[in-house]
Amino acid sequence: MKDKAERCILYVPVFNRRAIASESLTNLRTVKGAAHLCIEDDASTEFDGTLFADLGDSYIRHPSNLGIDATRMAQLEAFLASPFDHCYFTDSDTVHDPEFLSRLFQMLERTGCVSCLYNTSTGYHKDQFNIDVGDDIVLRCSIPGVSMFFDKPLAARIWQYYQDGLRFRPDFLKEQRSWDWMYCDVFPQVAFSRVSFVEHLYAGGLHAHGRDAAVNPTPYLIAEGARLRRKLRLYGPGAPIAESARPGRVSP
Amino acid sequence: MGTLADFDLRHLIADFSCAHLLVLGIADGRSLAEALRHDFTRILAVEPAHPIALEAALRHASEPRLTVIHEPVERGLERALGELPKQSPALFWLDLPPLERQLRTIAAGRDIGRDILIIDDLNLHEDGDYEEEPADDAKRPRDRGRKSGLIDGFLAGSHELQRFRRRGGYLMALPAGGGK
Repeated sequence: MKDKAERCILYVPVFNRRAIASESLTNLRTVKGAAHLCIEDDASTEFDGTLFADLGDSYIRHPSNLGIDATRMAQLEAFLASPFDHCYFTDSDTVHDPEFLSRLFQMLERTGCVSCLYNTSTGYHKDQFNIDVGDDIVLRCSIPGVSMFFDKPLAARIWQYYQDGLRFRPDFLKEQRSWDWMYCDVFPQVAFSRVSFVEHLYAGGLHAHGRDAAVNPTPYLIAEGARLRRKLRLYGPGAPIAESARPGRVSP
Repeated sequence: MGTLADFDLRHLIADFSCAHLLVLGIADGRSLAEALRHDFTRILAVEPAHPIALEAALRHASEPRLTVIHEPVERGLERALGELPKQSPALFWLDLPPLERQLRTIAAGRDIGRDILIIDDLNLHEDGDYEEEPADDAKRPRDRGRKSGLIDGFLAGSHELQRFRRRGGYLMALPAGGGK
């Protein structure tokens, strides 16, 4: 397991949301084992410099804001050119179970599909046709988004689809609602773990407020989710507006 | 127009022992319907518009936890405050103009240090980058910009204030240092 983990890179983009990002990255740092954690700050405006540099094995701060679509495609390209064998995309508002990586390897080896540890029953995942393949894994056509694990052959197929789109379809980028929809276009089935090994604390107000909380979370996620909810006071719709972003306030 | 469904009521009730809800303004009824799905022991809803109050009372006639108070805002608020247990934390959902008078009445009527207040349609009261602008621009107070310190003036000393961009903007005031 250690050998495989050493050849795995975890990409986590950061943009503002300092308090939750700090907790999320600290958690990932603690549970990632030998995997390489690459943190990319997409030119945050609420803090500067290298706030989270110590938490990553590598740290990149963009000189200007690229947005999540461009950031993810750049990460995909970087992974394909890297010595790593496996890649995991996640967000900076998550909590991961200590066993998340071994579960990802198990799922990918079992199914050969892009694998996701965040199981939900609402939103885009609602009313999906699930194919049960055993080991508490289901295949469904859905958006892995916050938890996405793949190897180089899978990454190459996405990259090819992206390149072909840019080359042959003038409206390609306009057609794409966001970067992770491309995975649905390319892969009719994504492997989802019935037991969630990731909690997504908030994203636009959809997540972890009872409607789109992780289904069947591990005991670790239940305990950590409750601790963070109370510590960070996560009861509202998404991330609160930072004081520095309010009209008349001055950025640090 | 916002809704209580955007908030994690289950954990607000559990973490802050917040068993009572006071709704100021029923509007389309979505927030009231959402509240009734949760474990509040008592819900008081103040509604100055007769058709809205009547519709809500009839729709939820079988719900013993709910009392609809059809009165002008201030009088209805005073009545509702009189029915809230003083020692038990309450959640206030504020969805009616004018906000300043409501805040004064609430602060005069009880110690709000352990209460939670959620203000809907913050875009009517404070400038900011919200998902939605007010549907009826005429509702927006002319001095909105100057009054942006109003809410802080009432609540910042006793509460932690969180503002959200969602819909027309929300402000949630949580007891400073409170919760389990």
